[in-house]
Amino acid sequence: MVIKKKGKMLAESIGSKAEYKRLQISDDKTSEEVGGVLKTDNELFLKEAFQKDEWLGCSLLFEHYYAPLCSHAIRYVYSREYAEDIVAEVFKEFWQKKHFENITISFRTYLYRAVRNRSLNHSRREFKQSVVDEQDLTIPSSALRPDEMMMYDQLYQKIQSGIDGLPPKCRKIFLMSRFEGKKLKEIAALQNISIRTVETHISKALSILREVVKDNSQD
Amino acid sequence: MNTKIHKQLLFQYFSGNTTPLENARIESWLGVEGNEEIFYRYLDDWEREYPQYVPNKAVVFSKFENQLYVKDTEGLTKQPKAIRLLLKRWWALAACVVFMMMGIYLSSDWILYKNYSTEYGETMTLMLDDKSQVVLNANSELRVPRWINLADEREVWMDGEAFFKVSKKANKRKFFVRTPDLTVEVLGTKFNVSSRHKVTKVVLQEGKVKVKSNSINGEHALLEENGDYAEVDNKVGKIVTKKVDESLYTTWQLKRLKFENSELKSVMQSIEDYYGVQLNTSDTNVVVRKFSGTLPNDDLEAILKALSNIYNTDFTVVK
Repeated sequence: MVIKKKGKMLAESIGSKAEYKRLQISDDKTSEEVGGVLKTDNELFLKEAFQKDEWLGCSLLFEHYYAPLCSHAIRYVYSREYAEDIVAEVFKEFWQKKHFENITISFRTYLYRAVRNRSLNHSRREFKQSVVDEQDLTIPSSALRPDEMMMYDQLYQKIQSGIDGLPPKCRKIFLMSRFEGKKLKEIAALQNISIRTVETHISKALSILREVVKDNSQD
Repeated sequence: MNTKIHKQLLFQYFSGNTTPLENARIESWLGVEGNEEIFYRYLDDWEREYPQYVPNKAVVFSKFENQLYVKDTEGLTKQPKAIRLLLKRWWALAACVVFMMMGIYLSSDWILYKNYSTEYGETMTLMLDDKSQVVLNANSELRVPRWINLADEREVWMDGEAFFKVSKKANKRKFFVRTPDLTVEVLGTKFNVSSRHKVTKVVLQEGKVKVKSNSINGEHALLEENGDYAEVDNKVGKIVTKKVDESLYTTWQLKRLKFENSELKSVMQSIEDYYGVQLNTSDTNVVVRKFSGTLPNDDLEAILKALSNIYNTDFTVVK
């Protein structure tokens, strides 16, 4: 991939191939430390990249965090499309509003906060809940209270358990539709059922999940 | 309570496998400044270790890149690229301007002046637009304004040797012949100007001319009679005037070289200038001897043969 090459070039121009390698390998070593000040090599490397060339920095950031962020977002929205859109939006805003210029927290914290914010709002909108004020959505730099932070985790965990608790057939069809992004027609053909039945299963799953999310927001 | 939180505990928490008591511990741990960073750090680790799914990064990134580069209609396009483009355009514009100016500069000479030049062994007779006649000797250049009749003063530049027959115009516009060393100012007259080897010689045949040295404290001299001669050596800026036989300096127009009591050295110089060659003689003493007479100036071979006969020594062209 092009970005990797760019990253390598940058690392060489900065003068440390090792640093680039450290970016490549996940930071397992340092993650063993607990409680210490965690200014990881990654973050330093990315900061350096942003200083050299903003676009390169953004590319490296995308390269490094895109996959785990999508993986996290999908826990809320249960759709590849939505999850990827959410993450892309976050990166887009980060780039266009030049948040990297005055960021005081780590890139990782910024990105996870932003993705969780957007994901939460998305799932709330989807499940016809009142949306948290949009301010929170665009400025993820404001710190959250611990209980607020944990509310996000509770939400995706509830969605997860809600899906786990769906009747097997219903869950399978819901996941095929949402998670795998299959069309109703395809699912109907694969499951040997009518499109109408597929629709029924999906709407059933959604109504169950709606209840789950409702509970959460009432907490 | 000790609020140290392990990676494992957080992983369990992310998976939803913690007890309410453990959750409470995490909550109070999160209240400590700096722990949020660690929290997201472990969340990131957890997502990497137990991903819900793995997106196709390559496809998405190019999509994302395109979105930022191309489809952005909010005017928030990627600045570096825009700047690069702008710079490119500026360069193009600057290059255009430079080329145009160079073009104008280079062609301005062509627009304003006509240049004439002669090869070795060639003379050229010109009739200028103001009816002045110029005979250009070999290896000479003359620059004449294209619009000589429109100018207040007639001004030509000459390097080499030329005979001028300047026409008298009713409005009496001055005529200037400029050479690297001097300027000849005339009203209407016939005269010869030779500018060779950094020495300019002016010989008057008819009329009146003013000769002015080009050097800073240059002198000037007035030539009023037939045979008046002025010589300027620009190194000193001095003008030397004397009376000469004008025909010695003007017969070249008739394809003849006329000398009177000249050292053979200067005769040879004249031939060299005309033909663009270098002459050599086997007898080096002969060059200080004097020569008087007229040589036909049609054929270099014939001249050298004639000189060889007269001085009884070989004159050859250095190859």
